[in-house]
Amino acid sequence: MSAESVFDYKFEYLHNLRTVVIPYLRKYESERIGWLILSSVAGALIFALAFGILYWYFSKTGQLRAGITKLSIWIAGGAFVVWKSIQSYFEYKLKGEIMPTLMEALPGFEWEFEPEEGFEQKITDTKIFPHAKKVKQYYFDNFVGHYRDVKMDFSSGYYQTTRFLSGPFEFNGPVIRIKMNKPFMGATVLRPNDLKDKDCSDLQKVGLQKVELEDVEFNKKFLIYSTDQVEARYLLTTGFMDRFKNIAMAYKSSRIFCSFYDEYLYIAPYTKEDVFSLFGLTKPLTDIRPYNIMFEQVASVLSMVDYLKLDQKLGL
Amino acid sequence: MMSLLFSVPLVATNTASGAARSGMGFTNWLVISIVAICIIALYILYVKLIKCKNKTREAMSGIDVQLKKRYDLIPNILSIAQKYMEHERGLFDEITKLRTAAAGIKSDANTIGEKINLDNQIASKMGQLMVNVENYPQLKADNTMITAMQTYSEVEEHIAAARRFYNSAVNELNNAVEIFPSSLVAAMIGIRAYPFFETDETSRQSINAADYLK
Repeated sequence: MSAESVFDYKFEYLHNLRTVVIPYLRKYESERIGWLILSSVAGALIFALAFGILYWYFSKTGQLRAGITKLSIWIAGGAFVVWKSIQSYFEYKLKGEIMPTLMEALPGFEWEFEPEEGFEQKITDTKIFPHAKKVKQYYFDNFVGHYRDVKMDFSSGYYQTTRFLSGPFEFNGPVIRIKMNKPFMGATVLRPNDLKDKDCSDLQKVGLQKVELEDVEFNKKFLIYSTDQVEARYLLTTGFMDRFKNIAMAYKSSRIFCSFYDEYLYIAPYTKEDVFSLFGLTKPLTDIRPYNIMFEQVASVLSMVDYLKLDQKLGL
Repeated sequence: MMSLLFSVPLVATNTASGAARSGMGFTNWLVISIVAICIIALYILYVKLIKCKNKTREAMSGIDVQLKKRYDLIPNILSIAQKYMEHERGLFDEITKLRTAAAGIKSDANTIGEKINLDNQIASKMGQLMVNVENYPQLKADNTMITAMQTYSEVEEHIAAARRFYNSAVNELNNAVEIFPSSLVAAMIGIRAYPFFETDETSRQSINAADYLK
């Protein structure tokens, strides 16, 4: 079933969250508390045991003060690593069990652990991120579906390159892909302006030209490259630019990337963290605030579909 | 003694002429440097003007490409509409006349103004046609007409984008042509300002809803 607008969609989402998801999450709340106690006790025990052994050893050798001072930090660090590992395991375990149900709150979407095969190559082909010979990238937490007959998917991604004469480039955040129901030619890429033109040499090498739009503020924030000057202006209308900035604000991202390529619109706001990391040992599972934040971020993308009428074969 | 007396003025004369020679050498180098800098600056301005002019021509040909798509589409739309809109013959004839006139003009610096004017008139008449289509439900529901209107809408979006590119290129060119010192170089090589692609007066007027509710 597909809602007619973001408002209808939000109504459905809140209803499903309240009636289906939250009751389901309550079943895991006691498990969460159990794991929290276990991880805290395990961390404390490891710290106490290691501290006790070293205290006995250094008191025998007569280097008690110097030895304990140096190693206390290491012991505390080790205990923290144990605690964090247990938390990560708990999150991973819960994700597999809860995410499919959480996705029921978002009509028309379903969750997968990973995106489709070949997704990494597709991201490389879009040239959304600066490309160099050495690239490290991986994507996970994919949720895919339709809104008003427009296919889209949201993934969490990590991308890193090491560039010659430049510092390393790193991206961490969601990668959103929207199927454009209207044709466009070539490729148009937007990168944040702090990257500078020399970081777009990979685009110049494949023949993309720099585009300067009439919107001075937009030009100050983004570097725009395209295979065709007219096609770039056809895609980057005032309406699109406004919605694009709204998405950056919804994700609290100061650096956002975009690419129009091969019938799809790719948007990647840099967030430094996994936006789909909704569960944690120290946070109650039934606290709806993280789910509402996630929904507002998704809604900013759905608003773009509404405003730009991406479900119809009309202009942007 | 006498030779000493003669040698002193001789040494003085040689020193003075040496100083004068080195002074003249420095002046020569200074003049050559200034001339070279002026030539380089003039060349840079010349290159900038030629680049701006070529970019404007590229933008103009971009508009032509999109306008050609529109001119090719208009007869198809008119032939579909004519089956249902028998009372709009006057409007069809006007559009056909404007289309023929516009299609026959090749875009360059001299004719671009006329082309812009004709294009604005075509856009206005086609807009009127699209509004009148609303009065013919059978035509509105015709699948061929729906596809043609969607295609026309996409072409209009591309024309709007091509206009934006053209205006951006013309803005850059006109700044170079009208602002000193590149204006001097522009006058020397015969590059002049181009007109902007502006909307016509009727499009700028605010819409009166009462006109549509009669």
